[in-house]
Amino acid sequence: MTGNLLDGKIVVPGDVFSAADENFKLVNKIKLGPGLTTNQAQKIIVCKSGTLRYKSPDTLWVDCHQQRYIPSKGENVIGVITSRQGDFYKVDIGASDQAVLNCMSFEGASKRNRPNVSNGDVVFGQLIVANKDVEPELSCIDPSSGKANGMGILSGDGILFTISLNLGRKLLSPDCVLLPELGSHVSFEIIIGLNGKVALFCKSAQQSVCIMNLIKATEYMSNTDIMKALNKQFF
Amino acid sequence: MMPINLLLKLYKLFHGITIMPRTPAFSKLEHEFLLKAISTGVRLDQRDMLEYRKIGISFGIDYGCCTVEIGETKVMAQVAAEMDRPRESRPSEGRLNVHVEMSTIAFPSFDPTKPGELGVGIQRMLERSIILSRAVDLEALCVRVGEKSWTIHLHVHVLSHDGNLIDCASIAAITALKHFRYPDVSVIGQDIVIHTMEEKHPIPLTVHHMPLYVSLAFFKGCERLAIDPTYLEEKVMDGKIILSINKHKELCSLQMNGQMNITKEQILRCTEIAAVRAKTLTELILNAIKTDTDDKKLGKTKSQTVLEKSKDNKEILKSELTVNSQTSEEIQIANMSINEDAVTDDAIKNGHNNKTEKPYWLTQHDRQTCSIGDGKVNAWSGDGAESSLGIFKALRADTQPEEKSEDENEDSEEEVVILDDSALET
Amino acid sequence: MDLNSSLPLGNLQCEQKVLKNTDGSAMYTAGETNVLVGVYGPADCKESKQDVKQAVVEVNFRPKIGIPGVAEKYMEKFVCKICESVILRSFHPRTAFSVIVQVMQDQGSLLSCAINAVSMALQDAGISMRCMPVAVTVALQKKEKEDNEMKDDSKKFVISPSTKDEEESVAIATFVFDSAQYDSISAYACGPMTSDEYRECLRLAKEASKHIVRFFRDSVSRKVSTDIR
Repeated sequence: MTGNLLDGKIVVPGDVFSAADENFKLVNKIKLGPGLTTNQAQKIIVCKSGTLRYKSPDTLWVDCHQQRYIPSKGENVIGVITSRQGDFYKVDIGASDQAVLNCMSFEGASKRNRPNVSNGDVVFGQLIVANKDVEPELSCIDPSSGKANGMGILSGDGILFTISLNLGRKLLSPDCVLLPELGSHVSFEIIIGLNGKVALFCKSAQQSVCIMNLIKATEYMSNTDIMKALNKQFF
Repeated sequence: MMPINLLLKLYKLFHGITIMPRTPAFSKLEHEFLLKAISTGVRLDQRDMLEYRKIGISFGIDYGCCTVEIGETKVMAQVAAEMDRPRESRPSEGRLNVHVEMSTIAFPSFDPTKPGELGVGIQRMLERSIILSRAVDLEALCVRVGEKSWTIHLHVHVLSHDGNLIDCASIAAITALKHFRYPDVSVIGQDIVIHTMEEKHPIPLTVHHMPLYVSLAFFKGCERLAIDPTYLEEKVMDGKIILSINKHKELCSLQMNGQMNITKEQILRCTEIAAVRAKTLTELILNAIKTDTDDKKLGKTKSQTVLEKSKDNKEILKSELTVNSQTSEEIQIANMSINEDAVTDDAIKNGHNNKTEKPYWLTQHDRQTCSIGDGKVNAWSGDGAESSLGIFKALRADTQPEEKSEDENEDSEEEVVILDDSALET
Repeated sequence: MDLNSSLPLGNLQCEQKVLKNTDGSAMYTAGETNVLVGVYGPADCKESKQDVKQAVVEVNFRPKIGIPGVAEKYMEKFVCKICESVILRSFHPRTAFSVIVQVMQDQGSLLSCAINAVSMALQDAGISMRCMPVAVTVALQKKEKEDNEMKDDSKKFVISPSTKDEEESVAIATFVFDSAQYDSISAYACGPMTSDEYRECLRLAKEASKHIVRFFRDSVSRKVSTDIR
């Protein structure tokens, strides 16, 4: 695919591609992901700096390093409950607006059986409403099945820390070797929210802190560097 | 020239802050984890309990400009001199003013128009340790008695907040004062001529001693002690002891914040730790200033870049996070308290202290009172056993001219060590 | 992230992600002038200051010594207008962007240094922009030769003047261009100059800005080059 020529290119805001370019002769519609937008002249403009990515047949986006989360529908995020307003909890997910979480959006919750949630609790949920004009809304149950699927209140002896958004995506991608390799040496439970928050549960505090620092250090590492670092740690 | 207060009011009118991004919420999970980790001696950045973060000191092209980083906490200090009237109460002295600027760049909830509790706290602490302890010779700044003297303005800008702001600010302040030079002045009859930097070499400030703040945080009912707390650790601590001490082991200021019940042995141990720390820091500062002076002489004008940058591919293992020759300090501290493990603080909890030597700066009056510094006759009546009129003068290596007044009440179970039996005139 | 350019732009240096608590930060050095910029955004905004259709931009300019005064206020407004035109504000309605500029060292060309630093910080924070603003300062120095026959004014254009150059110059102009088409976004000029001289300053600034854009691109690629595929 000729679009592959663009894949891996490093772009800065202001770079322009023409949709009528050589690269895209074979497709009618091009899907633009985050970091790209169009202008009046039907040209594609880059609006965030990072690496350009192309996925056949027609998807283009920019992988950018970002700290602040921008809510997007369907993403799984970790939040901290800050207050209660009537039937809703206000949850801090690291975005510009606090998300709302309905008191009934937990598995097995009913008017009589209210979930035991208080301020400062950590929840893992899915964004069911998220666009630029409205407050985002979170839910801890799958809207179709009514099951939790691992979502809900996170409790136990764990650590909650923040990483950059692209590191979170990198860890979750099937290409990244860090988590599977780590899992073969140490047993731990990790929940990665796409808003850059990570909850890590491990046997001892020492192990948790060690793994946390390891994860934070892999921000700018490639797969080979990660393997080297792991080998140093465990052998 | 408008008075400062009026200018501030006008600025506030002009500039109402539009946004203050919310501080990220602190969850119960983090709180519990941090306390649990600290009780087993584990800190989030894998430091030892008595280990400092990496310190970086760098200077700018101007004299008196210095940026200090302790881990992620960054503070910049800049000293400026202005010719002004001296204070009416002290006509033969110059002035030293401290201004602390807390802007949103350091932490999302900081408001640049209002210094806030933290900002005012830092300003007051810096004033206490630098001005009240007479660290800078203000009499040398007088040009004409009652009419003209130099006013030194010390601007401290907090650039990034990750805990332990006061330590960082005090290092920056003292380093900037030591680095600063003000223009030379000639008095010819009625005229006062201020020479430019090119005409005559500028004069450095006379800094008698360098009082540096050291913060020690207590956790879990004062069972655990950690030096140089980060922002998260400060959120879960019981309280802090903040000491201003110089390399001669002179205590310039002591402050305890928070809900703490600590014993006298703990306080004394903190002062010992702080003294060692201050000595190392003073050496580091003097080395940094010397390197910079040499560079400036050679004409190397490097713009303000950070001396030590943490590498991107950080080593994960604990051993890599060593601070500038810190390991020898730990051994020293461990040796000072016999039968005590430096990391596990059980011994502090039990109040067991094998030290029989009283520190030379402590004056014992009677069974229940002792003090630091020269003072008046003890007017408190003792419990009758020892004479309360007899004041015991501690044998001190060198007499301290500064006056510090800190009274410590001792528990009666400790043995009273009588050092010298002579009455002290008021 | 150094660039010793052959043009008299001086040594350019930029360090990104310098601060922990901000969303994006950059420490930018041009010659001996050094500026630290921190950016928050998109962040929540007070109801009274919110705009329903687009984001609000706020700039805070902090000098090294003294309380921010009228000159700082003017620079804040200038930088704010540039940010408003460059940031894609309609992507984030009812939010606010906060830019804090801290002067670390001022040895001339402060305004252009500040704008370039803001540009790098915004890019570091991943804020959507239609282009990156690039600024260059040009100073005009005139020496009037007192010749009885002919008054010959010898002009000298100094790009990125130092403090000494600025003191000796008759007029100073700062131009801001966009990094894509090199169109002019904004300009700030003070001091008397003819329209020819102004055009010459503009031309020189445009040439110099190309070097700076190359430097920006270089910095970004170094930061981003270790991403895994």
